Amino acid sequence: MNAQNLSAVTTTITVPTPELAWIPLLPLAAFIIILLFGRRAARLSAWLSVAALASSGMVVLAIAGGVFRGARLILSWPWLSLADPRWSLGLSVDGLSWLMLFIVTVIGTMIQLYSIGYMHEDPRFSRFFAYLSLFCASMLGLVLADHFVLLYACWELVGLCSYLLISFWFEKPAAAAAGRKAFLTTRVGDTGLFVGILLLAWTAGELRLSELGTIRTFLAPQLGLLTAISLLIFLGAVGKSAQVPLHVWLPDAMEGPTPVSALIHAATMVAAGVYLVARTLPLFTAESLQVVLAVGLVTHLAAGTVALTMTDIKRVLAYSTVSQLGLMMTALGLGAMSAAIFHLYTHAFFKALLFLGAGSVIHATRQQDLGQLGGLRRAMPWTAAVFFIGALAMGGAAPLSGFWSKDAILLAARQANPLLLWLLLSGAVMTTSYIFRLYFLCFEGQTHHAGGHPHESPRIMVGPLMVLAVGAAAAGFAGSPFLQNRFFHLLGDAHAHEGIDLPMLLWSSAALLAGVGLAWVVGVTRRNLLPEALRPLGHTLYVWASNKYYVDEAYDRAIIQPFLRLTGRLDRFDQTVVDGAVNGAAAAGWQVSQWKAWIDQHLVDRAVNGVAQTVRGLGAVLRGVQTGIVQQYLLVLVVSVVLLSVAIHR
Amino acid sequence: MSVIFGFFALLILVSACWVVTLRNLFRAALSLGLVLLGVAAVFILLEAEFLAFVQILVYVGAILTLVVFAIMLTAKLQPAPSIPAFRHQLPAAAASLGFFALLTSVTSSLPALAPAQELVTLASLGQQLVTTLVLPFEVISLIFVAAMVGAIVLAAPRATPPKR
Amino acid sequence: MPVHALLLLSNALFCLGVFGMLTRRNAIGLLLALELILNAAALNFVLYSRVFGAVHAQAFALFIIALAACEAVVGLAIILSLSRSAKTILADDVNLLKG
Repeated sequence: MNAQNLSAVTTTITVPTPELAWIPLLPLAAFIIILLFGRRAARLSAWLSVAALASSGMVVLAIAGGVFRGARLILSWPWLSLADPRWSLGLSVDGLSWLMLFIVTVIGTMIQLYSIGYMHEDPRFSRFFAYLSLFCASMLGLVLADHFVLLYACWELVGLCSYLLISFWFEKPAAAAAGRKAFLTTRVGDTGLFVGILLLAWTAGELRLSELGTIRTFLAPQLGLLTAISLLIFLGAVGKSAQVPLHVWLPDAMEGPTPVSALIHAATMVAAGVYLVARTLPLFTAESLQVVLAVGLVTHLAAGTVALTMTDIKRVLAYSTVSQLGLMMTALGLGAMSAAIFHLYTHAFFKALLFLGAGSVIHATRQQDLGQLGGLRRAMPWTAAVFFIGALAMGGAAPLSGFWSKDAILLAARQANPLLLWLLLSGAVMTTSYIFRLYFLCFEGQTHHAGGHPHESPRIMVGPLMVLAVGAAAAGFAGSPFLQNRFFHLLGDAHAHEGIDLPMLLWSSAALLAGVGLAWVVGVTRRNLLPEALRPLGHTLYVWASNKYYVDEAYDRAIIQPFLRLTGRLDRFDQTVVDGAVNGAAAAGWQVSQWKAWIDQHLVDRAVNGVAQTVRGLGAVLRGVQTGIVQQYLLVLVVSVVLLSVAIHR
Repeated sequence: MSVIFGFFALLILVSACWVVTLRNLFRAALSLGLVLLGVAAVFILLEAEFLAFVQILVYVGAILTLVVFAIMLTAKLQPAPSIPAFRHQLPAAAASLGFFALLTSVTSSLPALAPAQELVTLASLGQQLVTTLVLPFEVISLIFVAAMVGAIVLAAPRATPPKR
Repeated sequence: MPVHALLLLSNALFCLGVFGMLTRRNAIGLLLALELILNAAALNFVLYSRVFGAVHAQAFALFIIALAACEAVVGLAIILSLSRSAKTILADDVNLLKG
């Protein structure tokens, strides 16, 4: 299936639906209300935020009927009195955006509920919920937007909120630095997206997302231009979705509170990039799809190896997100939009579950180093159980959600190139083994925790975990043959495979088992499986991966340090050359004025002083009125205007 | 329409009162932000979206930020709480109320005209700015340059003359 | 369209600004009040641009905003240099205009 087919499907009936405006406005209203009045009623503001997002979710469910019948719901209003429909901003919902709305509202509500328990001791409790509301509102707006300008505005809002939330504990220097890094790194991508939008406006003059098919046919003769535009848009997605080489911000973003990490990783921030590419897929040419595929594949495999070596519970999950996003990008690069979005949808459930489970562990033990954790299954049975379900779903165990979505991608890969299938299968082994390594090190084995008795988290945190666990287990059925592949039909993908592909089932189960085995043997019992000859090579690879392939160091050396050196040099140039020239000119001018001053004093002043004496005598008389206080002048002015006009009126 | 208008009018008036009566200057500046946003909303109600845009971008985005900066920079110079923040309140209130009565007596005698059929489009606004209104436009840019030069001269630290 | 109500609103805004300018002792407070006055004027311009469909009126509202920017810049520069030299920002302590 290629891009042209996709755009053909979207030409369907449109239904005006004013209710759409409520979806982003409710959380936005919650944000404003909490910002203004939240400090007095912290608890109430949290519930308000949850209620607003849940009500948005209700609206999303209420409009489901039309979407499932294949209609496109729209709401548009003219803007800037230009009498040109191309600039009418609007909202629009089709299958793709409806799914994203569903993910954001459901996962977002669960995460907000959980945060009530997680953040209950924080002094800026209500502020946190205000930011969460704004985050969800801007993500909903991004998904609803039918116009590149509106989408870009929401895109930047999402970036802003991620900055605010990642550096929420800004007293910690690491958190402040992480927020800054996230903002600056995604900014690189945002600039690409912005230039892409400008280029699109300049060449096609049409920025409505519902007209992408028209744009494609209009620009089809200029293939190079189309490639450039789509690659610039993809650059934005690379920044937001943390793809190589702009992935460096996501692992650092772990400095934020854990629910924020869950929200960023599952429902809002990083999903935006994948959504953008999926939405603008009609604009992508074969060449740019190759780039998407390459970037996605490199990200998937490289981040997977890094995740295997990390020792911080949240960093493992962070790199696993980078890796899974790479998998989605790979699917998009193959043109398999529905498979990518399906994986985004299941990933949202199990990744939110895993993050919140990890948060529960951190909340109970105040510890996130894997070396310090272990045997928590006895103390936290519920957390362990849901984490296990999440790990299974992520590994792709047969009827759980991850299985269906990963299979869809593997099938697309097999159609494209058998080599790709093997690469993705090795990626799947890695996925399973890092997530089970995490599970084993956290919940199984010896109990050794430094200080304090770990305990099960409060009910308000376990409840959302349960719901998400059910979701992680069952969400995949939407795209399974048991429900007639309904998921794929919603995305307008009529070519969805029917029935279960048995060889693929066997291969992915083998990958799962291999991954779990590797995790136990290498990760937990720490046995070196490599033959003697390969051990030095393996060690080097391990060191490289555990240092994240030195990407941060390379950036520091190639970009940051030269930049600092350049500014230093410019500063010296300024001080010596520019200032020297200016000072020299000033000195010359000063000398000339010295001569003039002599003439002035001896000839001109005499004449002037005589005049001045006369004026001073007069001025002394009037001086009393001038107090020098401007406000008194103003008072006199106002009073006299009033009196004068009354007098004239008479 | 009238309900929305009433809401924003109330917002503008209440926060304008805060602007002139709040002791804490920082809060007064934030209330000014509310006034500006309210005025922008009224602009939208009057179908001048572009102006509303400019109002928010320039006023709230730039000018208000500048003011807040100044408040923070001069925070150390804030007078002690014992010194009153206001003066001559009674005569000032009398004068401004009188002025208000005067203005209102003038404006209430104006006829209530129906709005024009055609809207002011952004395209025509842009066209006017570079044709019939090009002189005021250039004057404004001249004022901008003058203001910038003046601001730099005023705010720059005093330079010591070169020694001979 | 509530022409009279809008006129009343802008009158009130103007007079609140005048009141603020008369009473505030702090120079920055004066600036804030001045912004109110300018906004009242802009509001009137926009109102009558709607009533008459006049482009010029909107252009002048635009100029007002531009002038407000200039005025803020110069005003703040004055305040900064005052705070440096005179160590005060109370407007009635500053009497450089005194004859």
